[in-house]
Formats: sequence, structure tokens, C-alpha cells
Amino acid sequence: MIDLSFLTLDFLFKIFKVVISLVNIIFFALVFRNLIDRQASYNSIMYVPFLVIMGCLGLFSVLFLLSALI
Amino acid sequence: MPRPKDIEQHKKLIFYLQHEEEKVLKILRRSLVIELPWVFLSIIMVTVLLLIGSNETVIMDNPELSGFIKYIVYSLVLFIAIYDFNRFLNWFYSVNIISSERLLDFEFKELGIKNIVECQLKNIQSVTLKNEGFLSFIFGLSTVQVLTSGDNPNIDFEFIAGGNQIQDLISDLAREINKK
Repeated sequence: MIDLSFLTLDFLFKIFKVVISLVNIIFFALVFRNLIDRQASYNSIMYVPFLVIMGCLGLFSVLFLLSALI
Repeated sequence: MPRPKDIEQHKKLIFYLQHEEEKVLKILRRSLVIELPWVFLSIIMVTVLLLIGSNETVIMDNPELSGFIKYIVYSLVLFIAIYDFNRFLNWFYSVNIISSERLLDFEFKELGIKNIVECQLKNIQSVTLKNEGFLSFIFGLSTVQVLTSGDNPNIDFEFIAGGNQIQDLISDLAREINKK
């Protein structure tokens, strides 16, 4: 018999949290790629502030992933 | 005709098709009023989620489950924040540019969808001004339709403020180019 004792509720919650935070990080990466693509069409002076905001959102995404892993 | 102040104002903007001697005369963007419905919807959604996350009575006695629900709620808030920022970027980067040589329509929709239409001023046939919809009526927004000759694509400047001046500017520019 396969030992499934590791499949506790806590473990399942952790897996689910990691999956959710990975979805957030992938979505963030796509939006970031989109921002770079748009800036390539014409140079907006708001690019740097947008990068700062993206940086904050990225930081939160990574923090969420870390909190899920710990 | 464009004022020298306008030309000076947009001097720093360079789009990827621009020639060296080409000047940007006007940059137009859809009015922010049109974007307000989804902004309000997002604010309501985030408020409800934050209320759920902070309300202890909703969360069960089980500390593991309670922590998990809080995590899901705050992850959703982060997801909505990224999604809304992307929508804001769509609005911000979707512009209509009037240059000394052409009209450009940069349209960005969802992730990875863009539509860039270019129309030379010499190909302009007619410029139409339209006022449609309740919001447009209330906030004085209009749509300027530029019809072009032959197979050239038509350009719509949707929900912009000061449509009369834009129509006048494009007509003047087209007339001047065709005189040369």
C-alpha cells in the first residue's frame, strides 16, 4: 500500500497556496511583458513610475509565494 | 492649426514609425470617464474581499482553515490589483497621435493584443464628428471618424474631449498637405 499519511489538510492547503501564488507570479510576468511591449510602440514619460508600480506588485507576488512556502 | 506650445509639449514623444523631421502635434486619449465603470467595480470587489478577510466572525474556529481563507482572499486582492493595473496600462497606452505627416491609432486591448493603424494625411477624404451615447452627451465627449481613400484603413478617435477642435485640426492639416 502507498503511504498517503503526508496528505494532511495542512499539506493540501500549502500546495494550494503555492499554486495560487504561482498563478499570480505568471500573470504578473505577462503584464510586465505587456508593459515593455507597449513602451516599445512609443516612449511614454510615465514608464519609470509604471516600472516602480510593477516592481511593488512583483514584490508582493514573491512575498506571497514565500509565505506559502514557509 | 497646432500651436507652437503643443508642438513643444510633445517634443519628447517618439513613436517607432517616426521620421526625423516629423513632429507630433497632438496626442489624444479616450476620456477616463469611459473607464469609470470597471474602476468602481474593482473598488467594490476589493472592499468586499478586504472586509471578508478582516471579519473574524466569517472565519471558522479552525486556525488552519482561517489562515488559508485569509491567504486566498489577499491573493485575490493582489490578482485584481495586477489585472486593474493592466487595464489602466491598456487605457494609458491606447492613444491617437496626430503628427505633421500622418494619423496613428495605437490600440491595446487584453494581454498581447495590439492594433496599430497608420494613415497618411494626404489620403484623408473626410472627417466626421459624432456624439453618441449618454456618457458622451453628459461629459461632452465625441468620436472623430477619419475616412480615407482607397484601401487605406479608416481611423476612429473614440470618446475624446474637444472633438470640434480635433476635426478642425485634421481638416486643416489634410488641406495643407493636399495643397503642396
